[in-house]
Amino acid sequence: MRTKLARRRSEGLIPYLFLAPWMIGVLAFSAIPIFTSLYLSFTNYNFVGTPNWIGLRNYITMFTNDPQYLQSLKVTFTYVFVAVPLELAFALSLAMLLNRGISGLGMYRSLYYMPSLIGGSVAVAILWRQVFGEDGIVNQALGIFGIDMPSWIGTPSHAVWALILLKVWQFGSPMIIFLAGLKQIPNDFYEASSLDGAGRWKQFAHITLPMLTPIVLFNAIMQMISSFQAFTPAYVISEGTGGPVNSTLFYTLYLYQNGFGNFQMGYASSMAWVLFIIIGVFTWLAFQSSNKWVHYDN
Amino acid sequence: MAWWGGQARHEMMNALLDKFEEKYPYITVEREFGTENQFVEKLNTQAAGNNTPDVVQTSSFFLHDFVARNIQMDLDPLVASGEINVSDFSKEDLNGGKVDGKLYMVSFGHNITGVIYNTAIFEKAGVTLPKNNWTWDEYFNTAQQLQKYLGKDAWASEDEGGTFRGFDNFLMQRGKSMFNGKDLGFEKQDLVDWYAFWDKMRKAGVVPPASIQAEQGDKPQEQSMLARGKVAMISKSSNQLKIYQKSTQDKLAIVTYPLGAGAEKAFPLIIAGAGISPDSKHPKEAALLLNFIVNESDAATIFRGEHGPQASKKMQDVIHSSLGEPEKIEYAFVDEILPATKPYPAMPAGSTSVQKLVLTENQAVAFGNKTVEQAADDFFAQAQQILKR
Repeated sequence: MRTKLARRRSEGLIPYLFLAPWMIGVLAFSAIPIFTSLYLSFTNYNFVGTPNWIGLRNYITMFTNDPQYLQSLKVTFTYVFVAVPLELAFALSLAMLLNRGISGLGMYRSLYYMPSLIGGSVAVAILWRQVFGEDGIVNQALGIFGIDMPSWIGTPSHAVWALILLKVWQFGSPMIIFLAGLKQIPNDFYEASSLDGAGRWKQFAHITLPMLTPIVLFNAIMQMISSFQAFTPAYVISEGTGGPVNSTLFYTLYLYQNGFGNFQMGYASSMAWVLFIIIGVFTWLAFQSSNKWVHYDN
Repeated sequence: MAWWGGQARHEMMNALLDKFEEKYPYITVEREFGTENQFVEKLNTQAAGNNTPDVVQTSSFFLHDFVARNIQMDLDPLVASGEINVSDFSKEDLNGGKVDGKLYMVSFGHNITGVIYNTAIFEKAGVTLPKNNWTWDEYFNTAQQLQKYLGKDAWASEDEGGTFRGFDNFLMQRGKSMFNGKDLGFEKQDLVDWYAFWDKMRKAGVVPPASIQAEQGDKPQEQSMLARGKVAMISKSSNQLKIYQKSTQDKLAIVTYPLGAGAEKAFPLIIAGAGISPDSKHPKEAALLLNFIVNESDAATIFRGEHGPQASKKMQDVIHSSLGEPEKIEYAFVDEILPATKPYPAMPAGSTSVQKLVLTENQAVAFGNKTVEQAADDFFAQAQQILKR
């Protein structure tokens, strides 16, 4: 009896032994840093020396006395709520096109997926600087039609659009997921509706879109989360300034400027926690709203 | 040892350290390098974890901050013991490496911000070449004369209202500086005057329109408007002259930054050098290395005044005969102006964002979003908030 118990106890420990390497990794590289940053957000800390406890001061300063912070929120919200819907619409349209049984689907799929693989990279951001510059390809193309545009990245009202377009251009991964979703929709639905005289648009509105809603929700949440955290394109295109006139001052870029430019790590940590809460709230809202529009057939 | 720079500098530093190891076979120098931005981030992270490299590159821009945050140690004892020999140093180089009277940085070379200009454009336009200690009025008139020749698609000067180094020069002439401890060291009127001058330049059409200037940003030398013949004048550190000259056929030259009428003839001296970390377990070897770099002709031959003329005249003489034409122009300029320089003013933590504000608010004026007055008001409100966090 007793031996059995002892054995059971030791058996109970074995899984933890196997888990240990992973647990240590999570603690050392995720959990401890995360909670450290929470503590730092209530201090002012300049990297060296000891953090001083200042309570909620960072959080209060942010919302009451830092116009650049509010500007960074505005830029980021504009970016997320314009770029993500555009990107999803674009990804869905292309997925629909590719879903029409064309030959060489694999090739097109890979081709259209390419921008997603490279779109977030520094090299492409540098390319984008050129493309949307004063004498870039975009302006030269518009020039053919007699449209005279200033430098996109050099004009405050246009600069964020260059970044939005860069995001939309990375439509590859939602497109692939939409494509998989489209393949799941049984053909019977389309056949039955054609017999009832439904046209293309009706089919799209009443069959395709409702059947795809779970996938739209998934894509929307994933893209929203990654867009809130976008950093590289804005950093490279504005040379780390978020200019001109803070028109591309993404939240993460401003956070970086505070942490690594000013060595105000406490302030940067509190910004990071607010971003975490913002992303959490919007993800929660997306799930809450899904009861109203997402259609699960079960 | 850790330093920052481009590929050419890394190769040069490696050759230098190889030479040092050859001379002192019992010492091996570990090497860490990166770009200037990465360098500071990495160094901060290392300092937070108490594993700063023994020898750390620094400059007038970082010195006060590094000392305040205890990333550099007081070198006076090493100087007193003769391990670091600074007896051949110019007094400007010595003073520029001091904080509160103690030496923290050993100078590798010095440079002065001046106006680098394209002599070919001046000649074609028939405009007299500028002379040292010219005034803002002369600068403005010269720009207007150049513009007559340049026409529509090129400009006399870049719009430099957003450059904090220019503003530092402007303030020093008025006996002020951008920062005073954790506060601003100038009045609103100073900034209004500064922005107003550049606004006058924009209205006269002698600098590029706002969007072109914004796009130009801080592009590398070979893509700069100066190298492409799009502007005739740009203010930069004197050691940049040779780098710009590589990217253009036209002969470039350098002249002092303009002075205000009746202003004090003073220019901030920019020094690049290195210090030793207080955590260092090998301060003696670190001192040996610093001494080698700044006092041995073997080192000077490899180093070739990378950061501008070296602190020691003896070392300058080692390489002087082998200097190229642009370096000769640079050295002549720096030697003439050196006595009129002052150490670069201190910058507190948070200065990076305040310096960026100079650019942002100048752009706001350039794009017509704000008046000069509004921009100056907004600058003060935000700068004080950043420094007091």
